[in-house]
Amino acid sequence: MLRNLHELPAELLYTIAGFLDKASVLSLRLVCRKINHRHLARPFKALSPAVTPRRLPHQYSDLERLPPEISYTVTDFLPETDILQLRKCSRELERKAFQPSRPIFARNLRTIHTDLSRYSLTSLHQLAINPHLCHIPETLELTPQYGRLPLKRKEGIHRLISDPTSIPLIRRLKEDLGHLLTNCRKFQLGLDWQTCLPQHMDTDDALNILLHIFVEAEIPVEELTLYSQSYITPCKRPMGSPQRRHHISSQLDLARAWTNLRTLSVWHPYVYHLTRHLADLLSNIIATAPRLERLILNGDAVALNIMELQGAFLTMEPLSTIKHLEMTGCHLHVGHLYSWLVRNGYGLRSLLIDGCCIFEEDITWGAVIQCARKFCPSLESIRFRHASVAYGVKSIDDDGCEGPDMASALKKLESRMSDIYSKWGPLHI
Amino acid sequence: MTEQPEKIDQVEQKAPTLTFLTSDNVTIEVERDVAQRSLLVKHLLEDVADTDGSIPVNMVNEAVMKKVIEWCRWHKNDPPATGDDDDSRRKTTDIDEWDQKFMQVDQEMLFEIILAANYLDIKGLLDVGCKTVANMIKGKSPEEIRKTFNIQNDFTPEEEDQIRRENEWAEDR
Repeated sequence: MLRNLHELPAELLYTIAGFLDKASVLSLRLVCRKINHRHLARPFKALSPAVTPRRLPHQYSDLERLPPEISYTVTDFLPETDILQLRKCSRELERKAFQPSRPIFARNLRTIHTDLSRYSLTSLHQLAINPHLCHIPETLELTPQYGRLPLKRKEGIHRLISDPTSIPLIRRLKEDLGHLLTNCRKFQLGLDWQTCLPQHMDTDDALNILLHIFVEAEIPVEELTLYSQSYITPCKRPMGSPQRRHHISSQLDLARAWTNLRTLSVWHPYVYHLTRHLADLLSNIIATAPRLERLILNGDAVALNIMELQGAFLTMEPLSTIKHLEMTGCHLHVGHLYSWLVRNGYGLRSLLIDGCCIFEEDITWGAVIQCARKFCPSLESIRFRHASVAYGVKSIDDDGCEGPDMASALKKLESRMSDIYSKWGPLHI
Repeated sequence: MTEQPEKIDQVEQKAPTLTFLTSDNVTIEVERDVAQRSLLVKHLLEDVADTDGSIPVNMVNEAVMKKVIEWCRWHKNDPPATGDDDDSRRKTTDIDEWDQKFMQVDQEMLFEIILAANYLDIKGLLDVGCKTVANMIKGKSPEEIRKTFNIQNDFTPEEEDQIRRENEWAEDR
């Protein structure tokens, strides 16, 4: 009686080997010395790669056979990590668990990120060519690896600065944003604090890449947010006269980049030269964006370098009607704000002052309310949060008004504000 | 589990009953109020006043039907599901002790009970069944899930790589 494979008659073993693929024949030879000797004496003929072995019909398990509505009930009871694990089990379960995993993807892929490295751009491309997920991203966050570049990359970076989309990976990003990631229309750019050095990758270069992409791919950018990536203590801030940056201003047709821009936000420009640079850029955007509606300035409340940026924000004449103005963490120059409201207040719907104090002496928040009453007929909401009344200690936690009868609501708000100031001392009235 | 036979024996002899004809041609008599845990039966009785003959349940065999009736009899006094408790229901996979013991059956029977609960529209039983399956999946790797449910891995290496990458996008952020 036969007990083992190697005890099979030789011809039978050759017949069996004839049904096996190359890898399985190799395994067969490794079963024992005797079988291998048989092969050495007369090689087993593996199945020709041209002949596809007949696949056995897939045997579905009970779990896979559940109707979709019951599968969804099961996944309703599962935490997200287990739903993702279930997708890895088989094609059928991947198909059934994809629908329940949509909210996970929708949440996690709404904002996508790149540091412009090869790895992250390749990953972004793979997402862009995924037909099920490419519609999810809405925001692209760009935080380039700023800093000194290795010598061997200097050549490359100079080419990149003058013509970024000639670099294959950047060109692919442009094409992905133009044709595949069609819902990704909000962009956030992390700024660099370094001064402009020729062998450095800096903010100007990153902006240049972004703007080239916007213009060349005609991407209808809806929201642009610029922010500092890290906080630098005042003593470390480079305050010397910076080199004039020229790449952005030399960009022709710059206005074409934001024909559809609705929201412009700037967050924490901690460094003086960066503030100055942004002031030029923002003035340009505000003066040329035809659909801009929301202006948001989130300042560095610790230092006064935001003042120049406020100037750019509030003195530049917008091409469009601004509907929402938000100033956060600023030493607010009420004079600038007042004159802005006089010139542009007619279309303003909402004004938010958050975590601000007044730059000028002897001016109160009442002056802002008074101005809003006079020059903002369309105003629907005004709010003061953590607005400082006296240095350091006193602030208005949250006050404001909204609703249909804004005229009388503003009057009441003004009177409340006046009470606050009279209660807290005559110094700031 | 020891109480179950007793409970079945406690059929109120004089209570109005209904007769079901299972897929394997077995007739089973059940008290009307127990049978009405099934919304399918309840709506059927509302639409058709007189049900003299037996009600065919073509999708359910005798063994499964007996288990379903056992569950309905134990839970006959539970408040009916309103649909408002959906969110809280989904948050937990806790199963009460009796139901846990009730669901200690082989996998084939477990899935048959789930399918029967779905067919007969017994929300409570369906939830218990689905929670049991969810608990069998929780915390397991794909390989362990495959082993538990005897699932064949039919992915090509490329497909597997694609799913892994997609999951990374969902997990990393």
